[in-house]
Amino acid sequence: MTVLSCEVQLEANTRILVEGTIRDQDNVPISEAKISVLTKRGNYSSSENQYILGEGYSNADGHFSVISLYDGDEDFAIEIDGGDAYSTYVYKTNTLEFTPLDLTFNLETVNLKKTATFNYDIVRTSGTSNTLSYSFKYLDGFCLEYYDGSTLNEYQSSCYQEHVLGQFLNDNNPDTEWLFSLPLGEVVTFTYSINDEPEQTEFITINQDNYDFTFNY
Amino acid sequence: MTLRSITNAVCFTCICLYSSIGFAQELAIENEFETTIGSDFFDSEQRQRFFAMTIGGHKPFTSGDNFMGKGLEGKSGIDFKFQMYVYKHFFIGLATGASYFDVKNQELVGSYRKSRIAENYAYFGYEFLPTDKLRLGLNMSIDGDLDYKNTGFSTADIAEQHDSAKLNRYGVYLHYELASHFMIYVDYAYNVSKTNIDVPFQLDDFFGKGKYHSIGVGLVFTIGNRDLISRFIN
Repeated sequence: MTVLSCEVQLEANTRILVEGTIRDQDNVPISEAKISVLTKRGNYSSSENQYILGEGYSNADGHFSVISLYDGDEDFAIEIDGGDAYSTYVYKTNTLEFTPLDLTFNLETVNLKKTATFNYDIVRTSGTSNTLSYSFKYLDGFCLEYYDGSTLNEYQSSCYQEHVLGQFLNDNNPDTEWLFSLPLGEVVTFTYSINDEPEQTEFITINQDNYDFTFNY
Repeated sequence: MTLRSITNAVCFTCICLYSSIGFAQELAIENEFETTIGSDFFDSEQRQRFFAMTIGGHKPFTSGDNFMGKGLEGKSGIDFKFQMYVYKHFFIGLATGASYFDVKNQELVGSYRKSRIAENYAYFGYEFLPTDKLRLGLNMSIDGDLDYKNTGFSTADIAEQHDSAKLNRYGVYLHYELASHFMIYVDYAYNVSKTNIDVPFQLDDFFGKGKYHSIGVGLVFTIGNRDLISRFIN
């Protein structure tokens, strides 16, 4: 009987160095950002598994230098997490096909964007049988760059992509509230239609860390 | 060090203890007719032994500006040694053992929590006899291999990772004779691990050598009353 194993075999007698500098969009160094070297991470903003090979933090100058174990894998990642206040960046590559000769992954300067939380509260005040169809269009606070060797592969990268979040409210579900994170300074496009009338659009510039948005219909 | 090798070592210890008692009884009868010869610092025919077997434990202490000194913290260890007196108190030996460490700084070594070093080496040395009950030995490894088994990852899907190294070991021990063929010991050793780890050039010095000391205690069983060469010459 063949037993399929998910066991990860790390390279024996090998350590790599991951280094770089983290700054925000105003070129200010970001300290205490968490750097994780991962294998089999997946491509989404939250990692699917926690195969951590090495971890470290940026210093006061935003510089980081992390010593890590190494795995030859088609899904090799270096994740930089600036915490709730900043966006997340992921460097990915296929280490079955590419291993730096000097065993150093130098990410140079990584720019993270300050993020804000958009809290929305939609309340029906017009009475029963009125409906609302709405959507929020925004850029998410996640950037994944996929490299073939030292060349950026834009087709497999997804950096600050546009997201659309929408819902239809009626008598069964007249009110709603939720929140999402996006880069500070970005614009949220709010599109809505009351009782199937022509759509209306509002542009909301996110200019504070916690942006509260209330809409009544 | 595997469970099997530990089991073998323990069995071997029992056999040696049994043999040691047998030899001691046999030799006690022979020695009734021998003239007593006083102890000498460098040599004593009366206190000559053929084999010595030790079993014990030790505490490792990492040191220095290297991946062991900065990244690991010693916890415990076990030792098994078998040494043969080739000529008078000059001996050669084989040793196997293990040292256990906790990782105190994962940023410097990688994301694992524990490291076990399996130690296998050959050694040589000389034993001095400062008093009637004490034996002072100096030894040095000839050829030694280390296998680092690194464990304790964030996921069970990564069971272990291995590093390897060559061992240079310099040791000193003190045996106290409780009986003619049964002793207790304390020892100290300075260990230099020359690793085979591939790293970026700026980390060569940090990973090239790991250093740790060890202080141990244990039991010694000896067999025979003549060295190897004397058995053929005389």
